[in-house]
Amino acid sequence: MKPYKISKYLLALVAAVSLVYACTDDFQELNTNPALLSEEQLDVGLLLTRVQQEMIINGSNPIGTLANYAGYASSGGNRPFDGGFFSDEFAKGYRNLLNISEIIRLTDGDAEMQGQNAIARVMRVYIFHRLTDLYGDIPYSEAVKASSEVITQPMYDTQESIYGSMLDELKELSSVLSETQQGSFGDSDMMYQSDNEKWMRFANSLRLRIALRVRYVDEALAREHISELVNMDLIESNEENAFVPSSDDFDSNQNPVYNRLISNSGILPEHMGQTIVDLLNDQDDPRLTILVTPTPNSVMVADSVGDSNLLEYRGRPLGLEGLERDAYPTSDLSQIGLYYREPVIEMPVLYYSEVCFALAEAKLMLDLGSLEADVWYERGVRADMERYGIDEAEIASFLSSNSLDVVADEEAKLEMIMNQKNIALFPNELEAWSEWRRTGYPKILIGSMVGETDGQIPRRINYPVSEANVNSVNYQEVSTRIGGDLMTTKVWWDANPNVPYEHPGEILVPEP
Amino acid sequence: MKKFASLILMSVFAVLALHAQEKDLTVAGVVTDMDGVPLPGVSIVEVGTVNGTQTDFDGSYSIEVAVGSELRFSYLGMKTETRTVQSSNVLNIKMQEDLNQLSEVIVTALGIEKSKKALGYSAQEIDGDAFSEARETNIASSLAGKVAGVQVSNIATGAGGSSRVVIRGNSSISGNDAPLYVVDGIPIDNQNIDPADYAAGGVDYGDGISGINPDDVESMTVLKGPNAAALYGARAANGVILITTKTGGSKKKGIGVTFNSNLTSETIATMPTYQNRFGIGYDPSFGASGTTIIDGKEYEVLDPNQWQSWGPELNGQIVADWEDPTKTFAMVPQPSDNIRNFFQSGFTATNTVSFSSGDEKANMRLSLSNLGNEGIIPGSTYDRQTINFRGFANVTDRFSIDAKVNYIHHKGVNRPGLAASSSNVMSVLIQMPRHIDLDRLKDYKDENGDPFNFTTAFENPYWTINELQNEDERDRVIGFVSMNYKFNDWLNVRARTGTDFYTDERFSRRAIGSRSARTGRVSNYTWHVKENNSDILFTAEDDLSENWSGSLSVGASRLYSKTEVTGALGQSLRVPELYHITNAEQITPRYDKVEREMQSVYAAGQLAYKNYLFLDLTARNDWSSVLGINNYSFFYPSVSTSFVFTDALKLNSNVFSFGKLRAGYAEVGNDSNPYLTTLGYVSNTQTVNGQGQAAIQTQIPNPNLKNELTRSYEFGTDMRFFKNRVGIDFTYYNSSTKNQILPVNISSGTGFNRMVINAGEIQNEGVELLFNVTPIQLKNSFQWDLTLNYAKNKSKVVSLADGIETHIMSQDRWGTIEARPGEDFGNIVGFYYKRNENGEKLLDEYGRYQRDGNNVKILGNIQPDWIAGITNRFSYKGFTLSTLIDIKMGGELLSGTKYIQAARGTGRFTTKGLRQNEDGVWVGVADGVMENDYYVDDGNGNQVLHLAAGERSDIELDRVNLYGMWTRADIIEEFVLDASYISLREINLGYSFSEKLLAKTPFTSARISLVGRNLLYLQEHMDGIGVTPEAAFSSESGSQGSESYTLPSTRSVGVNLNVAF
Repeated sequence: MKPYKISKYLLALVAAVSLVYACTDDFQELNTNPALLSEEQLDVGLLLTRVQQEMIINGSNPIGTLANYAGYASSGGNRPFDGGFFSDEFAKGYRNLLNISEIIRLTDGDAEMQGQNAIARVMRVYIFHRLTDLYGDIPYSEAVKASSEVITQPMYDTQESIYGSMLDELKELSSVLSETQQGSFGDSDMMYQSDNEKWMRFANSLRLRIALRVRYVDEALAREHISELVNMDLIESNEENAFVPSSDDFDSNQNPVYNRLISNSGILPEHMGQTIVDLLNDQDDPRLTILVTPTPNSVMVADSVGDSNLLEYRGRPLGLEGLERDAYPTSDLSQIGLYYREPVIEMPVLYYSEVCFALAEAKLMLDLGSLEADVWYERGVRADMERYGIDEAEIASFLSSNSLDVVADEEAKLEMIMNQKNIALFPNELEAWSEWRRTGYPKILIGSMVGETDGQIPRRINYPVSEANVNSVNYQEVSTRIGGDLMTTKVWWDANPNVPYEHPGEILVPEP
Repeated sequence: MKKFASLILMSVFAVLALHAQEKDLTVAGVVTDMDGVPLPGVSIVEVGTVNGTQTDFDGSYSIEVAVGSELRFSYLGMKTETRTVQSSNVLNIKMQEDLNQLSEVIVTALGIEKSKKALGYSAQEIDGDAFSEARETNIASSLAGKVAGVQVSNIATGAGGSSRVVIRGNSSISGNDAPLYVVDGIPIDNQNIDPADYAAGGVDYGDGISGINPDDVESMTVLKGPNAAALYGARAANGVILITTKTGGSKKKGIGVTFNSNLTSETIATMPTYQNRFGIGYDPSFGASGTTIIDGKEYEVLDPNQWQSWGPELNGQIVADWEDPTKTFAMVPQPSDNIRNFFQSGFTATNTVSFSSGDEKANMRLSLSNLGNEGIIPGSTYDRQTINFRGFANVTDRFSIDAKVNYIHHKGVNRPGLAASSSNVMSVLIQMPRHIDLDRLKDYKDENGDPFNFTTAFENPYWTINELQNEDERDRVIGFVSMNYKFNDWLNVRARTGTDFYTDERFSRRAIGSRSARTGRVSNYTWHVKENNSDILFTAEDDLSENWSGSLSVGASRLYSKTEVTGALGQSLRVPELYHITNAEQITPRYDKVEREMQSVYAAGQLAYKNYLFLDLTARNDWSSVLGINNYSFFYPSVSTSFVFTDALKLNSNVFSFGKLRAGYAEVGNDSNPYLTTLGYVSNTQTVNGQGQAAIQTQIPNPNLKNELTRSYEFGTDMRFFKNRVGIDFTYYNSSTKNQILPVNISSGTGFNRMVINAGEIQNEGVELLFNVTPIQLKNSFQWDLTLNYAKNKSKVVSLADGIETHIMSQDRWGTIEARPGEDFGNIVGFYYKRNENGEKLLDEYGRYQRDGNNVKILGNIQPDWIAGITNRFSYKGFTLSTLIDIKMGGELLSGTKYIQAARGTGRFTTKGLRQNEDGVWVGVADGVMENDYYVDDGNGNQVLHLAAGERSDIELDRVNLYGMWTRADIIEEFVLDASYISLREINLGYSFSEKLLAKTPFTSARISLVGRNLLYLQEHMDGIGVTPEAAFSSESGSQGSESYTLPSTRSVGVNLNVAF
């Protein structure tokens, strides 16, 4: 062997290798995804637009499954009492909460961005409120932490504590927003173009919505907040309505009804719910022809005779089985009106009419506020009709025959208020369902379908299955605490002892 | 094809011209072993020349030589014989076994050739013929059943699709469990770009290995464990498949021409089964949207949104026609093969011509091949052309050059859509109501170009295949240049650089009116993929003393890879049928770039004592760009030893021919995908109300990412008996991979989807057995060889990170597949039946099945208990018959096809156990006992106890409440099927024409074979649902163990012709 020679070559090689290969300087750049914006490059307005797109433009659907529970819709071959329709709501809510939390984190302590900070905090309450109303107890205090402090298995807070926290937060934000704040989202805020006063009014109105929701379970808390709110700046006209217009630039930004039509060959498989059609029909409501189309059969008849008085409007109860289903052939059913089939519509957040009905109820049931309930009731009806451009004569005529005074007792008045609120909330199906759960109004008739809920309209939706997988201890704990992760489990504020009314079997099955 | 035909003609003439040669004497004879058994394939060379030949299958040969020249006869495992040619024309040779010189060599890591006896780890080599006769379009798929410990999933995605190969189980659960493919020493890119997604579907555009032409492959070697692969570094943690392509060889006179033609036809082997009795609706009506008057009579009009098949028995009921309601239509079931008739026979033709030439100084080989395929889905085609040139030259005594250029072109047209996408025809066909005559759907659009269908609920399958189209074209070059310099007789250096780059252009379009794109869609994406590898290796080799010899290699390498995509998706077409991006109103651009670099230095040494005791040591250090800033560098060593105890202890005998023990320990580091270390915000390319949008990344990065590390040890033995007629190769291994780099699911309550962890441990333990025997070997040349391989592997998840309960590999409404600490890898988890303590199903108050609340449990596991392959090969004279039986035992599959068929009532299983009750309704009784007391009305308004809790139900249920409950209650247990199978994977009957027959032809050899692959399942347990137990729609690990809407699997039968001039 020639050890000396080997060592010589080895040395040469090691030298060569270290010259050519000992260079990892460019590794960091190589391993940085060029497509991503860094914190420094980010404009937080981009995040807000995304959140409003996902949570508001894609936030309600008057022909979706929840709309069945609101009395708005009756969707085809669906089995609305079987679970599994809402797998994405949970993740979608928290995904957007995280983006909102990022805005808050990136603007915190920056004197020139306090405007954005406050608006983001209002949005945060808005999204948490939607989530807790869907599920009940949810991750709150340990949820949506920054990536460096993430809690991978967040615990579930009680709805009671979340409600308390949200109300306090909105109270604080009201005063923050009423002071002049530096910094604006500009047009990135598709709802109010970063108008702080409007956001303040929205924050107060949202607080009214939230406070009223706890009326049956914690009247003192409701009273505490509403008594303040009746003297504060709320949304005061349709001009201050909270909504985001849908947008025609991409399919995903369009009105979901329009999108459904386009994606289904111009045919809507979904029909209107019996509840809202009957409410509109029975009171000769001028909104009927705006919200609802006449049945195809009646159109054929009316066209052949040339008499539009023959047009019929008929919704379908939900939860029909077998023969019940046959009694409602599609040719005798109404669908959502043309007003809601345009690509660009207002996607609802909170309207002036809702504020009016809330104040009507507050006066009626809690004796809070100065104006009488019937005044707020009329304002609410008027506001909603004006939203559709209905002329004054028709409004006045409707109000004269549908005044709150026609009924005497408090509960009947409440039912009238809630029925009108249901119509005025359209197409905001989550709020309408929540108000139904809270008060039991409007009465929604259902067929004999059993499903997973033993024939009852769901009181909440199931947590996603993934939580049982990746957050099992907290999931088991919360399931036990709320009385089972079931669609029939009532959330904390769902405490009206009179609800539900006896519904099953009440529908009449006409002879086929 | 024309081009190839003319090429072949030209080459025939060229060869005929070369045949005019002159020789002194023709020597012929038979070469046998000492027992007189003829030896085929004995190499015969005229010493000092390039003149040579080989013995025939019956051991005979003939060669023209000059008198007085020397002929050398050499054969594996035999002592080489040299004879001087006398004037006699006959020279018969008996060869003696050389028990000491079992000189088989095998190519190992970095292209280092090693004697098999010196190997301290398990490696298995397969000859190229095994891939080229009974072939798969994707060469990796043909490994199925052939190598112990290698699990291959056949993926029903058509020709040109990806393959999925897993060696020794899943070591990394991050999705990268594929082996590294190395062609002629240079790693190639094997990614499946934009693979089909489990839920969203997509198309399988093929992986990197799918471009290799089987006719160019000399052999494939599977390096199974980390020991074998230690020198390839990080990417070899899952094993390595070395592909050696053919060279010109050094024994040819003139130019050798080989022509190979392979023609196969593909027909459906398995496809879903259907009920042929019940119509649409939910019973007892078909579900009408109203009625109409035809010729004065009232008929029901079927609801176009109603297409669940739980309705009444189809017995010719007259309703309004679903297409033209002014006519009537009789509701009768379609023949049971109507769905099958949607498909056609596939056809694949592969023609390869190769030219080779060479002597001891230089050689070359050029091959040209063309593959044309028509798939089983009408309009789906795949074409592949390859050109492969390899050249070698000894420039001087010390300096040699080896180089290769391989050009691959492929084009796919209308590759099938997969999984749950509407572009997958199966997503419609498995739920087609039974009264629909597919022929009436063939005119799939009306005069306005709008889709025609019986329902608005899903796509007409003919629309799918005609109006949802895709086209892809790839141009790829793989090549290398390698230079070798010998400093002296013990030291040489090799420097090598290789590249693999391609452009892949993908176009897809959907017509206006498509369900998934009502406003139409067009997209163009161009992928640029590049992988460069360069290395330098110094090797010193010498005898250290009489008894000791050794070698030492020291090297360094650099890998750089880049994948880049540019393109755009256009939606909402302005003008119909104009599929150009400028015709779209909504345009979404796409650009992505992923780069990585790895630098490495390594050393490998071997020490041999008396040629029976061997010690191998390797060490390697990698610097990888994808890891955290302070963690780029990682080091790992290996050691292995081989002890040929028959030589050492002089135990060799006619009975015990050879015996070896081996042991090895190895560590291999592994890195990850790029871009897991930094957090950022994703800018949305779509505006809303004119505003831009962005969102935080949904995955939490890990800035301190460090490498995974696999530690593995293995023991094995290699023994041969009865003069090598019986061989046993056994391996036990145990490996553990720590610090898994893994994006795991975390609670959505965090706002994130996943978090990159760098923790946890996966353990793999298993055995492999390879058994060869030649039970019969007769003097008349009849021989029977039997090869059996068997492997058992268990993957276990020892731990994940703190706060992480499980890693969900796939999730759908029919269950999840998970890696959960303390459990076996790949558990199928889901809802199950509510049962009592005796295991009886508890029925609800209506006598229906129930699921046990929201509780989930382990319903199965995707890993097989064991896999095996049995190859029988019979040869007699020129005939050979070989069969391959491929066995997988154990393991479950989650069936989405069964789920959908259960949800819609179309599966044949939804008619089991039905009878007609007094009302004429078909009913069945759930198999279970009542959970609570069950009362019925006695007719007088009194409720009387009919069944006590715990009694077996006799409550009649219609089909929807019997079988429909499986999906309405999501009883996932019903959809977990036993994936065991025994498959007749391959039959190959071949005949080689003898030299005598060929003597008067220009051919030097000719062989014809009848081949069949994936012929049938001798055993499967898929519950009659008609889905292949191998179902998977993508080569990604996330798609394993579950199938959704799987396309029919195919068998192929054909002929292979091989001639050489």
